[in-house]
Amino acid sequence: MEKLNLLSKCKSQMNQPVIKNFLNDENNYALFNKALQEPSNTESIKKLDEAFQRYYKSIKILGYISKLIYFYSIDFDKKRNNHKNKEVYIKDKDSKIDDETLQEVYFSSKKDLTFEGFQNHQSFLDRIEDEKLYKNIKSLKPLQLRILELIYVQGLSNKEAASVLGESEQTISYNHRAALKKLKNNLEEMVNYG
Amino acid sequence: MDNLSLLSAVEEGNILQVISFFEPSIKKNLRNTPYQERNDLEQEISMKILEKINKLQSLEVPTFFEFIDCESG
Repeated sequence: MEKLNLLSKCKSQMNQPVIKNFLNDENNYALFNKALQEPSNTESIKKLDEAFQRYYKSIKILGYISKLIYFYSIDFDKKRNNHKNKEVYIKDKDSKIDDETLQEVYFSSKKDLTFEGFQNHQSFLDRIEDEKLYKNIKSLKPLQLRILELIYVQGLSNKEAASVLGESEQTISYNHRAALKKLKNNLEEMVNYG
Repeated sequence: MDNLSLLSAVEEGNILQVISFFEPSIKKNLRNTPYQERNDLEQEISMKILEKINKLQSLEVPTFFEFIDCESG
């Protein structure tokens, strides 16, 4: 009986979304009604309690794991970035390489990318095995082709690709998306209409 | 698969089923990292869920009337 008094005393709790959603389920609502009608029947109250516990726990688990996935993926990316930025090469003391050569080695990656990329331009297309994709990819603008190559073959980020090409990051991002979208549309058309 | 079958999967410790339940969410969150790292991240997330599953199994939750009770706690 005292449990039912709780209901009238704590009406605000009944408006909690959890309770509302819980009672939206037919079976749960039936249990709830039964418990109200037979307040002395501990069995029906117990059933309601148990059903609610299971429901509440499942929601908690869903929320917990969803958050875990989200925050862990953010954290993972931060760690990866940190590692990438901190990992700097140190020259051995008795290394015979002079500073100039060393500098060239350090900073050559930027120089090479443009140069090599330019040389490899043909080989990027050659790497594509799928015939349909090959046909389609040739219809892209040269800039888009370069961007796809820098991002997927060389593994650069938007920022790095922007500095290599001397374009803004927005241009890279836009053209990257546009290129993928165009490829997707063209491929879908090919599949649909032979 | 609904929430309650997720609960029973967690209670049974059926990690594969739990992961497949969250597959779409995992796939979406993989986009937080460059595509070269995505396979790694996917594995790490699965491991993280495996690590936490014991904690979820022993989660304490209130009963209906404990939840309704606004006077305690």
